[in-house]
Amino acid sequence: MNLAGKPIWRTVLVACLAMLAFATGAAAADTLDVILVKASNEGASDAALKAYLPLLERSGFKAYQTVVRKAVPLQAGDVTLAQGFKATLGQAEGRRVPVTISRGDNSLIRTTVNFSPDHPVILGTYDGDGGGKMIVILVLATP
Amino acid sequence: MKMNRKTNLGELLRTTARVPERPAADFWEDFRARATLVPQAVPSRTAAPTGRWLLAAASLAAAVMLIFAIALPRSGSNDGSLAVASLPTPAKNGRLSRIEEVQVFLDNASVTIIEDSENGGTVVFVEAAPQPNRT
Repeated sequence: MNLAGKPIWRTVLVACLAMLAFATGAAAADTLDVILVKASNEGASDAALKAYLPLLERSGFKAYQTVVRKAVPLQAGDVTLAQGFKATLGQAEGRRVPVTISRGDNSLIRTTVNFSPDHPVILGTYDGDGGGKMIVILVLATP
Repeated sequence: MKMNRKTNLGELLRTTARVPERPAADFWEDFRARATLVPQAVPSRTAAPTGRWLLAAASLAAAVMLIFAIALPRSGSNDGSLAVASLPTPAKNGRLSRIEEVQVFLDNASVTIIEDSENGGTVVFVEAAPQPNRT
């Protein structure tokens, strides 16, 4: 049966191919991990952060706990974290992305990062709930 | 002459064998009842396109659902998080992520940028005096 020869099937086929192309493109987008970390001088560090400890320890604290982690596409939008913290990604130019970290209505830092996959950017420290010190890790996952 | 004879016969029949008057509803009810007793052939010309349309609509719906399942968490608000895999280990080689500009909104803050090639990461630390609660 020559399905592609019928007008209805031609339309369906073209629509499906277009949507498949769109989905493939979306799936191929870079993924950014955004992690909110609480730094303190008590307790042990989160095992998942082990690889990041040499970088985090530059802040002078002894223990680091993941508060929340989000994996998002590298495209403009808000990433709501916890304790009112939010990372706002601006319009990306390739892997060059403006990033604003804010808490509530207050912007804390605005920076433009040219991401390299698997090379994290550590932004901190900021005041969190109960006098805690908070750090934001941004890392572009290998596609 | 021939015509007159026919007309007379017709009039004769109408007067002698008068058809009893029936309400239209009764007639159609009877008609439908009789019609159900006769097997009706399904016209293939109308059935086939309906089936094709249904199949096409079902295919389209399936494709749309599939696309939404794949693409929706990646679009729009970034709050629709993707499935979280294990954290990537910082690469020890290759180009570090580069900080191109920094703007700090805290009072009396100092910024330190460290490009730590040994540990594969870039650190931007902000040191600020305790901030008044502005929230």
